[in-house]
Amino acid sequence: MSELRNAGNRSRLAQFDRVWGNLPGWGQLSAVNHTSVGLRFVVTGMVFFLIGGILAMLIRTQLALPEQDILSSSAYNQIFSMHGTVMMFLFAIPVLEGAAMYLIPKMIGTRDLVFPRLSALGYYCYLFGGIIIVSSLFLNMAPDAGWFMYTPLSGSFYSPGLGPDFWLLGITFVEISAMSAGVELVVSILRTRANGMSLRKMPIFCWYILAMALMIVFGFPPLILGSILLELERAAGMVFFEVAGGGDPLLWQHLFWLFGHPEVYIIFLPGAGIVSTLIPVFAQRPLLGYRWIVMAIILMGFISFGLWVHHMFTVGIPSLALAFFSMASMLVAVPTAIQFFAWIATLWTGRVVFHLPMLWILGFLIIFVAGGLTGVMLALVPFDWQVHDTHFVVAHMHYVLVGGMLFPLIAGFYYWLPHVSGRMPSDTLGRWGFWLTFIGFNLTFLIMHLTGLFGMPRRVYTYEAGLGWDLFNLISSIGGFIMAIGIAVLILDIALHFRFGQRARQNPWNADSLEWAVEMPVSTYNFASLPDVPTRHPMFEDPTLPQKIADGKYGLADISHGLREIYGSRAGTGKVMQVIHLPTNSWLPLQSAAIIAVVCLGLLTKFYWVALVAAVFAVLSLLRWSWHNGAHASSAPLTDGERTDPPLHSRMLDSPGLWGMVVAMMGNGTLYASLLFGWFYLWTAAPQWEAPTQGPLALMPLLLSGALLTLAALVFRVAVGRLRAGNGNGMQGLFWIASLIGLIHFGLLLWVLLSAPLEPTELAHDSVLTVMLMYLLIHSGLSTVVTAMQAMRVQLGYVSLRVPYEPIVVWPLWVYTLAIFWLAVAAFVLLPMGWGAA
Amino acid sequence: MLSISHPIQIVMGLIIWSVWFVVLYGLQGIGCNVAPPAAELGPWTWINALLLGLGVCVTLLLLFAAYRCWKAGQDQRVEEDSHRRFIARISGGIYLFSAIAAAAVTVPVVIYPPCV
Amino acid sequence: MCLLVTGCGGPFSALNPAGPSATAASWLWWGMFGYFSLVMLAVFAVWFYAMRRDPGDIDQQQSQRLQNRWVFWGGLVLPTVSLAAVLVVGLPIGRAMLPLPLEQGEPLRIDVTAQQWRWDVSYPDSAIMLEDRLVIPAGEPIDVHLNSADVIHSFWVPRLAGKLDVIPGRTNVIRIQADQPGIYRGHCAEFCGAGHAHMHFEVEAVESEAFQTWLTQEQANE
Repeated sequence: MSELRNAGNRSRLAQFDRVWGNLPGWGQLSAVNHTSVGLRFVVTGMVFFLIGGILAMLIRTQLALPEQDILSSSAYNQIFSMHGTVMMFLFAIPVLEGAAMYLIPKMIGTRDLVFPRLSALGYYCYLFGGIIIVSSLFLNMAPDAGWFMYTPLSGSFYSPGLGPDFWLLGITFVEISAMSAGVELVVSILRTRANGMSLRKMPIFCWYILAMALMIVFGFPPLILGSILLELERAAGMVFFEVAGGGDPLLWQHLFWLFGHPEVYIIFLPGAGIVSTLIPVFAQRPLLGYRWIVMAIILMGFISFGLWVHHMFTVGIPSLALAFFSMASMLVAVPTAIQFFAWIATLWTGRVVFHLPMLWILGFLIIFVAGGLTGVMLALVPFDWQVHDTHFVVAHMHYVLVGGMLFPLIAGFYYWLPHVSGRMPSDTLGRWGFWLTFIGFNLTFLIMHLTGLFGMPRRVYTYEAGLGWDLFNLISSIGGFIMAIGIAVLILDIALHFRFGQRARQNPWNADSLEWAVEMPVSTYNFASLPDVPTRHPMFEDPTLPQKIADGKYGLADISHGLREIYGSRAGTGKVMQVIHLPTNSWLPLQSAAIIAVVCLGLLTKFYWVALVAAVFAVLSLLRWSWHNGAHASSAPLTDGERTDPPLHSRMLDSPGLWGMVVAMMGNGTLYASLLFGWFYLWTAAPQWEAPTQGPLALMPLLLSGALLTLAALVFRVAVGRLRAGNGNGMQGLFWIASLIGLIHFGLLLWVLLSAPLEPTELAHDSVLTVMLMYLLIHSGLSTVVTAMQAMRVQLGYVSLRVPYEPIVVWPLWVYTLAIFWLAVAAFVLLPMGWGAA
Repeated sequence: MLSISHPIQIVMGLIIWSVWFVVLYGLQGIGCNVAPPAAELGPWTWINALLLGLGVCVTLLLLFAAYRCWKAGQDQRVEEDSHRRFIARISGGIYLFSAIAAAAVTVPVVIYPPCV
Repeated sequence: MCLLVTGCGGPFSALNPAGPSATAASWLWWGMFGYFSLVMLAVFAVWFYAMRRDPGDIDQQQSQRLQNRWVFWGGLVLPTVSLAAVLVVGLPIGRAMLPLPLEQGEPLRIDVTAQQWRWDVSYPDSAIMLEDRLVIPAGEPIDVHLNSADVIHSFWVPRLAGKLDVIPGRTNVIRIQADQPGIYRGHCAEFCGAGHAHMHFEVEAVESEAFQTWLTQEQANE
């Protein structure tokens, strides 16, 4: 039992446990709580890490000596492709997401993330997607075209097997979890902070995660789009990346690296966030240069989107364009240096306490600085031309990724372990783990720079003896195995500590931030009452905070109503403005994810009717989910004497749902923008671009359909305007009318698509156009259906003047649908017409 | 004009930088497709001149915005409100960095021929 | 450092250059390696000292000043100066590697078509065809025009020049030059499927006169 529980608060805390706890037994699968889901992410991610690690050991075994044939070329290609894929998509990102999901609510002083069921959905999509991808290894049909899947090698002609399909479908499935975590973390950080925690009082870690989450929202859609297009090319014979017909293999590279480079920073930012959190604690001194670091984070977040072409320096793009990206790549060194020297300043003014986590931070420093400097070298085009696609890059990349992510992550594990287990890690075994890992790592990868400079290319399954590479490779392999032993010791240490570790006292590292004010080991609700936090260092200023929180001295201490409640606050100032009702344990996430998994398997095995039926069920499941939201009568019944200070979120116009919708539309908009980019890119750059002389779409019906869509949006706008003005007249009718007009628009647009003489298997022009029309149809259909649901909810009293929140959430969807429609008309119909006329 | 202490100011400088970066890359690409200048000309072509001119304008615009934020930071009312001061200072720094970054990515147009 | 281990030799070593582009790149490497090693050691030293030192009593204002000093000099000035130095040297070097028109005359053109997993070489001015082998005159710039018959490959002769990808649907041009006669090995640098590891080729550089003789001889043989 936690030391915070006493006779005075025991029964109330027990009640909290009941309301916030997971269901027992199999009911655990319905858990939506961020602590449970976050830990599941982390543990699952570590399992995938071990799988990826075993693959790495196979690679090092094969390359240890020249001319070995332990692995065949085909096996080796599967293994290195899967090593990259597993480490990037199934380990690095999910683990960090999980850690963020676990920590963020505790740091900002709230009880859960703002969309708990979305956390659970994300987890199951990740789990099922990961299992699907890894299963391909055991079926001996794993993707073997590299984790970067360059076309045309990954196309159906050169890779006729199912490997690339496993990759494309599985990764897209897993990306659902990244996107949902991204949206959820952004909205949680902006809208559910403790009262008074303005932006500049946020723990620095929250800035890092905010940046990471926004980068996920903007960074992943290009990959999702690319995967969908490539799968359409493979399965349906459409043309996007094939030269004949007007595609271009370079479009895939652009889309992939548009995601791929930001992704590196998505991985690095949380790592740096851990460093920024731990250094002040072990220096026993508030972080110096907070404002500088915030600035550096924002700079990194943006500039990292302007670097992607440095993965494509050798594809033959004009040097001037390469130089733009070279400059941008070098600019990133500045925010990195700002952070490093802010850390140095903090250490300079502090008295450093040397615990195990600090050792890993030291490892981070040494490895990451080295990796960063080789990164600057690689950003210089004439040097990159020599070492691109050699082992030099392999070495650089492992220095930045292992240094920038794995080392801080392990530091973080040791640091936050007492939180989860209530026990302290051991020092001796931990030190062994560190030194073995650190030495093994450097042995493997330091020498690998030379292997690359001596001309050994990447991704070769074997090499001739006597080229000067033999000794280097042997050393790398020995180092690799030492590192593996180090990781094993580390895992042993962590496992043993759960059983033998010393009991930790409250706030064992004497930290400043709020996550150490929760009970240890952690409870499901974090805080029994929600304190005001007008400072950046609440635990430095009031060490008795944990007890006061447990004793219910602060807000929302009453749990007798049996509902999960948190505060919603203003994005900038952190002033509390509403009480948010959160959903409790639910089977909907598991159910939805399982159905989506069936869709995925149906597509994979080419049983398309199974996929289609499952897709319909998936939509139904998600709509049912949306039906039971926070404004539903079961979670927020309309009563006469309900609280108004602050009011419930469903009684207000500005709700977390609205923020979630807007952030989701930003991600969606990036997908759309990527498609537009693809269109313009192919149009201007594809070697054999061909456009029909006559636009294939019927112009008048298309414009009429657009006019109807505009009308439907306007009608919806009238209803929303009335709600905002406090006038509830005729809402149900307006929603029905908007929905009906939307339906007619949908029908007309569908007819335009079906009647057009499109040949998507012949021409890239028609392929892109088809995909765009389907994208528009999906959005029109969605707007229509949710508006009809709104009309029904007005009928049932779930939406009314007193509960105005849902139509406000739906409104951005209409705006978005309208915008993409007219933009598409401009880009796909009007512009080519004008171009042709000119 | 947008209030100097609106949180969106924090990212405005970098949004302008990003748009400039896309325009830079896009114009170069389109220019080389539509009317590629001869390689013999080196960097003395209409594409380079256009990009350089635009780059200077964007840099000046960002510098002006940085100056505005810095001025606002000196303002008495903002000085007292720590939240607004925080935003004004961060935005100012980011505008300044964006200006430098915009200038930096433009520099190659004085050295490289556009389409080789 | 590598001199101590095995010498910088090796038939694929970028540190054993034999052409102008590769020489420039290897100088870039040694320059950056030296300078960045110094930077790295300096950062480590400062960091270790910062951890070990006893700060004594430091008030708010002092630490503020310290912070601004560190971030300004280390976070802004250091990277800006370093990057400027790298670019001042690097950008012109990069420009010199481009296949720009020569002051006088035209560089010799050789067409190379890559496919899984071999290199087809042809000399457009004559009907000569070679496989996995290029013959070039030493001391002269050569423009290699690269085409792919299937997937993406990458043309790389480390001792002569950097690499350039071979992309289906496009023709990329890379300039290579060998200072001395000799045999220079090359291989595909972009992963291209099962045979990627064995997709090697050779560039044989011969004296100008010998090249002319070879050309006439081969043409006669065709």
